[in-house]
Amino acid sequence: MKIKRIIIGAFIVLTATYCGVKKNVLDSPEYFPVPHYNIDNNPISKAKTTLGNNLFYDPLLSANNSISCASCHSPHAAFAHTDHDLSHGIHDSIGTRNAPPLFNLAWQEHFMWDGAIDNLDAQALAPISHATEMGSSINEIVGKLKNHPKYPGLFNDIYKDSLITGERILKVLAQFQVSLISNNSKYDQIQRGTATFTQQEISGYNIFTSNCASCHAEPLFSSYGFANNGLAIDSTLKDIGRQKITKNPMDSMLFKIPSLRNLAYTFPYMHDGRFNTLREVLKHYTQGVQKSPSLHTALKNGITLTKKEQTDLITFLGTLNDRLFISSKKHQINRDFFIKNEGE
Amino acid sequence: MYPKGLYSFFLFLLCNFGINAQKNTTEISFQLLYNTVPLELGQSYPISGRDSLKIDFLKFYVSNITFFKDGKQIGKSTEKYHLIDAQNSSLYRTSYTVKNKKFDTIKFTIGLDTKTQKKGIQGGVLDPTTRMYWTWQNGFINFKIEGSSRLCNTRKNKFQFHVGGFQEPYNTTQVLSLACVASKSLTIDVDIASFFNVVSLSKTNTVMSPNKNAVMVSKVLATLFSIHEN
Ligand code: HEC
Ligand code: HEC
Repeated sequence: MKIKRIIIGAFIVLTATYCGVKKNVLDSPEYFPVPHYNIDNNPISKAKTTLGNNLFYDPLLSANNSISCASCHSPHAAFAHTDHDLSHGIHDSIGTRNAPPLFNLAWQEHFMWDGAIDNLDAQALAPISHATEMGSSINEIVGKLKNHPKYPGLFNDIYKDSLITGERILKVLAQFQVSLISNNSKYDQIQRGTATFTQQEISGYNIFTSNCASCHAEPLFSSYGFANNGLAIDSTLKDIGRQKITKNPMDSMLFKIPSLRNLAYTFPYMHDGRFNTLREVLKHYTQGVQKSPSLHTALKNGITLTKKEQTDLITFLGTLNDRLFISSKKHQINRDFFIKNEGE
Repeated sequence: MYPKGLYSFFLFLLCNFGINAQKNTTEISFQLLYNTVPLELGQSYPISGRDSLKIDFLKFYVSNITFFKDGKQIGKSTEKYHLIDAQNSSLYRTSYTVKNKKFDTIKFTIGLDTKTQKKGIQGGVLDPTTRMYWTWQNGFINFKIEGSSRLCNTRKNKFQFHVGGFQEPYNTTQVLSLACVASKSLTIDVDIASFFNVVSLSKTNTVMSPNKNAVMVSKVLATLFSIHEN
């Protein structure tokens, strides 16, 4: 018995030495908290991120090859759907919610406005299968990828066999999305000590910490929990948010708290895209908050902000825009991959 | 870095120990039935006198099969998850080596345990292409039955039971203990007819998310299982 244990031990040690100890961490700054996404279930590799990028931009993922993930999550909009209050999908059908931006997803525990999904790997099944979004299925996509001139080779490069499974497709897509880290705004430069706030930005920052930070917490600018921020229910959409999932009346009108990073690129705002400008958002917080039993305590006493305070706050929010993130080449479409395809 | 031969040597040792440890094998089969005869998809079955029903799709998970003797666990399945699919065959076979063959109870989970559910997307029988992972909410479907009957006042008279949910208060995972006489070969019958004797299709025909009905249905499903030695 003892011998067996020693031998197994030796075997493990040797194997570990042989493979070399791999660093498996996300490339994130030290002032960010520990990510929630379990990278051990989906070890990071450049080949996976690249393949995930191709899939993300490939309309092959939709039933009639017309819609890709990027159709609703555009890199220039920090991967939101700019200028659309409700997202458009296949056959131009209109969804019921605004497409949220995609960045710093590894720090989120819940996905979708109501937190219907707790697992980033699984999330892609929703748009893929949704009749009005991509109208396809993971089985159909497995079939298409198997017969594709390039994809089997790319899966082979990663997994050392060209088997294409639902699990692999989803994990590769998730890996690309986990790589979308926004950490190069002016705020981030200040954290690293390479920039400083202006007087007006400091004033805005103070207004932010006393009125907004309880929900939109630094450094991600969201606690990624759920809250009712006092929006009136939209009479046409009748979206009750989190209650739909938990069936608890105290969760009525609770929605996932969005990050305040990259607001310059992600308008319109809120789950149904009801506000076009930050001025309108602040008008809501100062004048439009609807009282209800589920309203978050932080908003029960109302927020008062002078015109100047509002301007300062908006100026501070400007320091959270990450131009490097939205223009980063590695997040954009890999044109070579698609152009060469058409030639074949 | 190290000579390949060294690895083969260790592998050889490991395998040898494996063989020495071999124990008794017990075969367990799941037999899908409809009124005591093997279930056939697409076949019309009479129900409540004048009406009939057809089953088009039947898949469910069984996991963590364990063996007990006098209340103590004496063996555990090596394969953790089983996906039983009526499309493949009405008979599903799996076998185990049990250290002390004199077990008196078999315990297993209908569906998947919470830990597996929480882990999300996985491969093999848990791959999402099995159509057992929900696309618009969390988790795997534990038990899925679809078909049609005139009793259902739904589009195309369809019934759809997608029974799942692992978070309280709508936990649909059922753990079943079945007393048995230890034997080389045991069969667990799953008679689907009993389901439709309890669940009235005119009243309950669509269960698609974790809720009270799903929990009720999962309890009925657990009553369909019975064991006998061959
Ligand atoms: C038709 C437009 C559309 C398409 C196509 C689309 N999405 Fe989305 N996406 C949305 C909308 C709308 C939501 C919010 C849904 C909700 O809250 O119910 C969303 C939410 C998400 C979220 C959750 C973000 C969060 O912060 O909670 C992720 C991740 C995501 N989409 C990734 C993808 C991926 C990957 C694809 C391609 C497989 C894709 N989306 C295709 C519209 C789309
Ligand atoms: C009680 C928690 C809470 C507080 C306090 C709060 N918010 Fe929000 N905020 C939310 C929630 C929840 C949403 C999403 C609501 C929805 O879409 O239904 C949101 C949405 C937003 C959005 C839209 C973002 C987007 O991508 O759509 C902006 C901008 C915003 N808040 C700014 C602020 C500012 C500025 C303050 C301080 C004056 C503030 N919030 C205070 C919870 C809060």
